Amino acid sequence: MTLKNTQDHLLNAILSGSRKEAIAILDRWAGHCGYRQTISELLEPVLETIGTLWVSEKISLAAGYLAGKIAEDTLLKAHEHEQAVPEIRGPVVLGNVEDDYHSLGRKLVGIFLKTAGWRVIDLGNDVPSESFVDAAVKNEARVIAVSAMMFSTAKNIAGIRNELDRRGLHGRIKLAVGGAVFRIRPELVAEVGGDGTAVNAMATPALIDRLWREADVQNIP
Amino acid sequence: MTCPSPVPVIACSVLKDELEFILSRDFPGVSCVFVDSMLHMHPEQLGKALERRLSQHGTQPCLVVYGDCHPHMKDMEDSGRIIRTPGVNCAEILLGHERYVSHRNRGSFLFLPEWTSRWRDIFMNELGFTDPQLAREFMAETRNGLVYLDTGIAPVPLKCLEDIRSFFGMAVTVEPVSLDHLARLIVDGVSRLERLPHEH
Repeated sequence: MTLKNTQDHLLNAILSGSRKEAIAILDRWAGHCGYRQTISELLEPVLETIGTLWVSEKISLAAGYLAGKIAEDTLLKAHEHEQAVPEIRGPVVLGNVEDDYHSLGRKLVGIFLKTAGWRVIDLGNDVPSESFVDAAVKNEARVIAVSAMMFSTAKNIAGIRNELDRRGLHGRIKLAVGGAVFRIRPELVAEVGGDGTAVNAMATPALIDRLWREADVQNIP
Repeated sequence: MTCPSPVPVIACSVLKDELEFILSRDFPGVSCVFVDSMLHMHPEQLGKALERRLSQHGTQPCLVVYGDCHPHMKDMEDSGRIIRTPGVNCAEILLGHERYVSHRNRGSFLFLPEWTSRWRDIFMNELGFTDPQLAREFMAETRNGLVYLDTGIAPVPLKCLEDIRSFFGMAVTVEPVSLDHLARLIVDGVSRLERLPHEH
């Protein structure tokens, strides 16, 4: 079976909610070429397709969640087989903004970032602005990724922007923002001081990659 | 208590029975228009539905019984077109801030009576959780408990709660809730509307 056919089968298995079949497809492919390669050439392209479908509301929350769980399962197996995806990028500091407790999106972002080889420092829910910046400075992270579900909590992200600016870190540490509210109200990204957003959790690795490079450029004397 | 002039009230149907009880008791002259609670799952559609309802009242401000349920709610408030009940969502509007925050910090998933009656439609058709195993994993990962808020308007739907417990593999606690807080918000909202200048 070709790679393209296998990708199609994996996509169909996830969209039809068949976790066992999806895992079996990934395991079979890993049997030939290992988990690391399976993640990069089989799983990641399928996740990108699912992300596109998610944006156009052609798949359910459950299908997106299942995709995350399958990615998590596969990462775990890669670790067990000592074929872990090397954490070649990052770290990225991740968390829900102060007063925000909608953890699902953040957890999915963490999984997809790890799948793409990013080291993730997940601070959890309801994280004060200072804690985000402290963690980024301590771990030399160049991107903070912050999640907020609603308008009322998204406004709290401005506190992180203010804290970054107050410490003279503007441009050196980039601020990625995400959550349902930004998809519907994109102008909010700039209003809260964000440097960029992604349309969904699966698109986050590309965003972080871009922001990391932008921060890099601005660090060159 | 009676209302001297017609006050337009627009509310989410998740609180329909409770609001009808309060309005008929405290504001018999006030009628309320309810918007389908399923639009909670589709914030853009909810925003449009609210705009349509508001436009039917011209420039007259309305009392809106909603949380921060779509991204432009605050704009509506700032424009002076609506007076909104304080609270981030229907659960906070019903429970009050302290009790809601207590549940939030404990990681409770709160079932209001109207949503409870539609739980299959919400979780299976809207969210796509047709596989109970995946639904259990999802709930266990994101919540620490299931709580049914018994507002006393309708009998506790024991069979339905048993179905929910069975589906999610998580016990459902029944917690009585008085309507006092919600009633206070309505009194306050009507009072604020009546104090607004007439040119609105």
